[in-house]
Amino acid sequence: MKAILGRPNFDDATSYTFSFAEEILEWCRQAKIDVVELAKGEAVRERVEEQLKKGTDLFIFYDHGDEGALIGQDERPVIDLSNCHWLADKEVYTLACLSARTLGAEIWRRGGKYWGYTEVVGFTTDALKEFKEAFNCGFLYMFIEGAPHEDALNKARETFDRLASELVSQGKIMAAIYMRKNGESLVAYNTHEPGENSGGSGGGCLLGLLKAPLGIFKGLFRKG
Amino acid sequence: MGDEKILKDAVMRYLEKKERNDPGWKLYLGRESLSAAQLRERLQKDKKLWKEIRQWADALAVDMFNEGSKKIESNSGTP
Repeated sequence: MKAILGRPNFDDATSYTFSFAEEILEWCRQAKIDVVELAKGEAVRERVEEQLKKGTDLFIFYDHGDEGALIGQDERPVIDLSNCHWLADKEVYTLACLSARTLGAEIWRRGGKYWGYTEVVGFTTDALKEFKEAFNCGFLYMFIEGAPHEDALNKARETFDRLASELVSQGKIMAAIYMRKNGESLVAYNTHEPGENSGGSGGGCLLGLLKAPLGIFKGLFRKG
Repeated sequence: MGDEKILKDAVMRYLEKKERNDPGWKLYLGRESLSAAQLRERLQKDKKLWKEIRQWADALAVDMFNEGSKKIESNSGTP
C-alpha cells in the first residue's frame, strides 16, 4: 500500500496534531506501508498534488480543515473541491475539523472513502495522550489490524466513549466533553452515506428522550 | 432555568479551579485556543458554546446511566 501523510505545523493546535501524527508514521513504517511524509513546508498544495499524481492508495492529513478543504502549512487549501478529483477512488484519513461535511461527501461521491469529522474538533492539554489515542485509533484498526471499515468505525466510537468515561473519572471534565463530541462527529463515508444515520452511540437522539436531572452533572464538575 | 444556572455555576467553579491548578491548560477548538479564564469569559456571553457544552454534559450523563445499567445486568446473577 502507498500512502501520503501531510502534517503542517504552523500554530499551537497543529504543533500538537503534528506530534499525534508521529505515531501514524511509525505504524506505517512498521506495517511496511510505503509512506511519503509531507511535513511543515512540504505540506502545501503543489507538493501534495505532485505526490498524488504519482499515485497513492491512502491520503492521511493532520490537521486544520473547513467544510470544503484541508489546510496546508501556508494556510491555503492543499485539497479542496477543485482538486479533490485526485482522491477519487482513494482513501482519506484525517482529523481536520468539519471537512467530512462537504469535501468528504464529494470524495465519497467520486468513489473514495473518507474518515473524518463533521464538526469542529476539540481537545484539551490535560488529556493529550487520550486524544492522540482517539484520533489515531481508526488508523490502527483499519490499516494495521486490518479491520473492515464498519467494524473500525464502531470500535473507534467505543474507544472515544471509553476514553470520555475515563476522563470523567480523572476529573478532566472538559476533556471528556470534547472526547464525547468528537466521537459523535466521526464519520466513515463508505460504511454509511453522507447525511445517513451512521449508527453512532446516539447520545443526541437519546437527549431528546431522556431529560436527566441536571443535578447529576453538577457532580461531574466538582472533580478536578 | 434555575437548574441551568446551577450547572453553569458548577462549570464556572470547575474552570476557576482548573485555572489555579493547571495555569497552562487550554481548550483547542479548531484554530481557536482558550485558557480556562478565557473559556469562563466566553461562556458568559457565547450562548452557542454554552449550549454545546451543556449538550455534551447531558450526553455524558446518559452514558453514566447506560454504564450503570450494564453493570446492574452483569451483576444480576449474584445475590
